[in-house]
Amino acid sequence: MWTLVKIEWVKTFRRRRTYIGFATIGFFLPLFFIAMKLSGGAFLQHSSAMKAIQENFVIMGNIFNGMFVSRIIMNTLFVHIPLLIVLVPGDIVAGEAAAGTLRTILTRPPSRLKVIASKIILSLIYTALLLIFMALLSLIVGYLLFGLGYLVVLKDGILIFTVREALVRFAFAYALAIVAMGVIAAVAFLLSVQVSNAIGPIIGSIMIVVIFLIITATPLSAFDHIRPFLFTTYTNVWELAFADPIPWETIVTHVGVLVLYMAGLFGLSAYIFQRKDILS
Amino acid sequence: MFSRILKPDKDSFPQGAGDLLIETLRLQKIFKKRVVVSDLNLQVFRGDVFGFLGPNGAGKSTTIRMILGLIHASAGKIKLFDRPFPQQRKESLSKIGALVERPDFYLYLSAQQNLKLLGKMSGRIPDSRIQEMLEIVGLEDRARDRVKTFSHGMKQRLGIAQALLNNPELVILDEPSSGLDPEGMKEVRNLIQNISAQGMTVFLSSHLLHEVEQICNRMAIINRGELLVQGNVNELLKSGETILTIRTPQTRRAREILEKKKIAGSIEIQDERVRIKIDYSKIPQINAWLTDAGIPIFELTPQSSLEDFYLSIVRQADVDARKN
Repeated sequence: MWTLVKIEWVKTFRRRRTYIGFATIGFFLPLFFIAMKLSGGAFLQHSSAMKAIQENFVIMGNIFNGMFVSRIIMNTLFVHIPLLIVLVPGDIVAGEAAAGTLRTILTRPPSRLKVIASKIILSLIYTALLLIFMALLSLIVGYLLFGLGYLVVLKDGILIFTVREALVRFAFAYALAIVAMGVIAAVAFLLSVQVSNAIGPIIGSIMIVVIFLIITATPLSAFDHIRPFLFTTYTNVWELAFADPIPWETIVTHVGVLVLYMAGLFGLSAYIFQRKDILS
Repeated sequence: MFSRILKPDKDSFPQGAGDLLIETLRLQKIFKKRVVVSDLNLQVFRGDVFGFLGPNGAGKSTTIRMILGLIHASAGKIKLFDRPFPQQRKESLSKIGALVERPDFYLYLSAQQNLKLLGKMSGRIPDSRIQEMLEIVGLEDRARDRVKTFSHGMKQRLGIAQALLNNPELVILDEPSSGLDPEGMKEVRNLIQNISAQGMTVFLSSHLLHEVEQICNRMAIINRGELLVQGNVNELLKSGETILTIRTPQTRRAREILEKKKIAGSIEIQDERVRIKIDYSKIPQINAWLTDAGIPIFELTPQSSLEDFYLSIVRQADVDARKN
């Protein structure tokens, strides 16, 4: 099994398109931070929460620091990062079907179940690596450009974390984000096993994420009965890592639902793949 | 339905009959209510170079894909190495090397890297074996080049290399000469003969009838998903029509006798030769008629071409299908 995972690793990471996600984050994240640095935090002046802080507190030091901007950049986890996540899982089966190599590997002794399992593992590894890369880059570039300081979180009030505590919260938030993005990878994967063209699963999965997000975020009572069944209701679980006290019960519920989603989507993918006729 | 299946006869398979490597029983595939393969019974014996013939869309590739587990059969059974397939998939596929239709590889990897990856999927293949295969197919100088820089012919040769990588007992090649120039075709033909000489059994799907005629000892012809004939190539050719050339100084008399006997449709005379198209089994009788009539015969040469045989079989099957 691990031989197959290693083979998938080589196939995935020897290919340039795998690095599109890393390159995009590697380019735009520092660019975004530099832009914030050049604006000197002017954009925060428009934030009502920030105005409230400035009016009601005496601020010692700089709250506009590396921790703060790293926390801001995590908001890209809603839409932007899923765009990059789906690139590999959306292509990992469909791309091979389109290239004809699926035919070649499936005439080899390993079972289809092992082949698909290795691809699932690799999709999750890619998802985790992309988020770890984003976490490290945001903290390092944030530190280099803005320095370290207390992390101020403006959500349902004001929370302030020490540097040490903030780093633990970041690690926890990214761990939860990996689970959440794993579901999005699973959606792309499910579409990938059904077609022989990688573009379809990539666009299709993004459309699903966007539509689900709209339904989740739109405060219409008509959607009240649908929301609990949409994975996007739970993918913001990482935000809970910055709450105080940490709502463990809610986090466990959210993670449980996300893991169930992942298991269901990957399980369905494996089932379809097992029964699929390889015609490409 | 026109069907003429020759049962495997031990005497017919001098290369070691008795050991069935591929056996299909009433194999069927239906795609969206369209029957692509129907009641197909194939038998490939150890040591065979088995030609699998049929027109485009006859169901050859679908059959091969079912034998390799790429496509699920709608009905029927497959046995590989006397084991039920796909139930014992791993054991069977570990003894098989295959090139199915196009030779597709990871274009961004080198030839060597591709073979390494595919080799790992078949167990432990030493680097020396990869090097050996690249040398056999003449790609040792391009081993480190990315496959995307390869011509179709080179990819085809690499495809054969990957099929032989695990030193298989059975090699399944689907149109291995497709897209190759004449020199490349000859190389592939020689390669197949070499691997057969090494004791590997070869299942060869091809459009090139002369290729099958030259290198296969057994063959099957399918059309519209149904098996038309199966058996020893020489015996099948003898069972069909042949062009008989009779060399005699008395060509006109020979023609008169043959016309009286109404044995053939058209009789051609060229120099001292009479050429007629007849059933192979009638040759001794023709010889007797002519010698009884005192006609001196210097040569009696039957020319059975697989092309004639193939076309007569397939056309007859088409006629039968239209009638039905």
